Amino acid sequence: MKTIILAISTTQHSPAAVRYALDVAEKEHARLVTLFVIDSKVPGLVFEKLIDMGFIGEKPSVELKEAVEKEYQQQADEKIAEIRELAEGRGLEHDIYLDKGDFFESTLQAIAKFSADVIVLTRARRSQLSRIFSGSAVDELTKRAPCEVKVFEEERIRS
Amino acid sequence: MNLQEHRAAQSVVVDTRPFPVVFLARSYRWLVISGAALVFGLILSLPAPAGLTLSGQKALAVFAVCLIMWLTRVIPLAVTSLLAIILLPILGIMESGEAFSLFGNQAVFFILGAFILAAALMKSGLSGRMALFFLRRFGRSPQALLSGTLLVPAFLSFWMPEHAVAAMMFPIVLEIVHSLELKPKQHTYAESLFLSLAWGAAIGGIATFLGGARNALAVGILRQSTGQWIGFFEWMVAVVPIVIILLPIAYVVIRRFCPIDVGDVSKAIEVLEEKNKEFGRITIEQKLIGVIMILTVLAWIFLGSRFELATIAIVSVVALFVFQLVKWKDLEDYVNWGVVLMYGGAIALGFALADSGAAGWLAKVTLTNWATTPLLIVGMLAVLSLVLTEGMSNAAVVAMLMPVALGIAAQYQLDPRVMVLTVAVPAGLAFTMPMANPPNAIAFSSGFVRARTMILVGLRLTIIALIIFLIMARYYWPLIGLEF
Repeated sequence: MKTIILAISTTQHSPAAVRYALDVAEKEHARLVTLFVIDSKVPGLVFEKLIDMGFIGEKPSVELKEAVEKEYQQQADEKIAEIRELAEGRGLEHDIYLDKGDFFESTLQAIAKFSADVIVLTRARRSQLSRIFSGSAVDELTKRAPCEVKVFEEERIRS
Repeated sequence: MNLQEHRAAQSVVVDTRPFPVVFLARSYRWLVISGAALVFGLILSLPAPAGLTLSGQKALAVFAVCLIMWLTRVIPLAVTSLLAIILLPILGIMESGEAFSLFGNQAVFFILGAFILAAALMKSGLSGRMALFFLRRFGRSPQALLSGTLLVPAFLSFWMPEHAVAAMMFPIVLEIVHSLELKPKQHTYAESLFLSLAWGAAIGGIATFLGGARNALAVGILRQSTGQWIGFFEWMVAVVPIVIILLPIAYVVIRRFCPIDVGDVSKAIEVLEEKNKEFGRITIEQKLIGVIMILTVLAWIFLGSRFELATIAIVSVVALFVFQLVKWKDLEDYVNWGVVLMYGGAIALGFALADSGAAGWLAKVTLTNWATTPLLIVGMLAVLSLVLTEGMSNAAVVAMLMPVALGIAAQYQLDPRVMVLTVAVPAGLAFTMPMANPPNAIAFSSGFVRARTMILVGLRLTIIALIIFLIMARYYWPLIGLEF
């Protein structure tokens, strides 16, 4: 049975990517694995900023970091529950894989773990310059992943 | 290849970015330190240029090293200031007794006292109670709630560090967003709430010495270098009108680019009311802390010139302990002692640059060709401060620009107090980069604010803020005795 991994994170997810993954899994009777990577770098950076630049004490900085981490966990739980409901509604075979850390490494590990045939990613909208200097996990995965990669751009918020 | 071999192979991550980028990323820290050492040696080894004393040249070498370290943050900001303190006597710029005594500068003790008072506000829950008390009153509509999320952190940042305000209100705004069932990157209202929190705190933080300790640092450098002073109330008179103008402009800008996409916020107000109930009745402890805080601010305003701001601050700190409103453990939890090192070192370096004539020389060589009018000088310094603060700590921006600004003031016979405001106020208005300052980083970390939104909307607000600042400096400040 074919395996499709929908890789999303707190900063990289789009409804179009979710729809595509569900549609393809349904059409090809594939197993869908939702990989959610909780970003562990940003809470650490915020903590550093508060301590080093803001000269705020350790306790409020730790509390803030924990609040951010809790929020990321909650976002992950909600997103996963939403996708699970959609997948079960379509009668798809569906697995969840929750990881914490770096998106690139977690995704590669998931590809290996589940022997993925297709990986569906969302690219955050940012400048080419920032991609060059801080790297792009999506670009690296496109080069390194040992399977087909489908990339969706982050959508504008319509209001 | 089986699964285990595949996993082992995948655990080796090969960086495939362009080689120069990889090299820079991996050896960045040591390159910077080596570069700083090289610059230091180079400045010392060159013959002293005309108009610069040997002492001034050495002070410039120390300044260059600190500038590089503050900009790149390869070592903590406070440790860079320590480096300044030890290099000054080592190079014979000043006696070690004098260098170390500058740690005992009044500005440092004022900032320390202010941070301890803020710690009491946070530890007792009074700051959280105040935030909810005011925010609950903005629940009539989504527009009102948005304005409340801008105004409440702004007001609180008048009386406590803006970074602490943003950190304290972050969970409250999260609760609001959750109660309204707003989703990350799907609702612009959520984005606007977090941007309001960050930018409200930043704008309010310029209003007094308490919201941004960089303000007190700037005045401390002014006093140490020139003997002149800006009082607590004088600062407010000069800056609060700018805050009053900027806040509604920030509201309009945020609404323009993050349209309101919710109809009813009653659920958010229910949550705020619930959280307020959890606080219970106001305690005696909170009342006493509130009274001490009010009396302290009034004393700063009316008695500051007679008894010194630092003295009043420390009297209030002692009062907190006399009435057992804080414990020493609370200070360890809520106060970052690095602020003493950072600010003490910055003031010592500023004094060394002024005293040795290096600040004046630097002002002459950097601005002579471009500075034709005082307004142009103020404009250029304000732009420099605004740009630098997007990439580095605002305290470091002040530490770096103040000596040069005072040198410019002496060179062009401008009121040095105008220079203090020109450097310190724009240094607090970092709206653009997500990681520029703690409030921006806090808002961005929520997951509801896209970097692109903060950059594009923040840039617009920054430009508007600069224009407002220059207009006020040109037309309002002369009315209150700050002419240039």
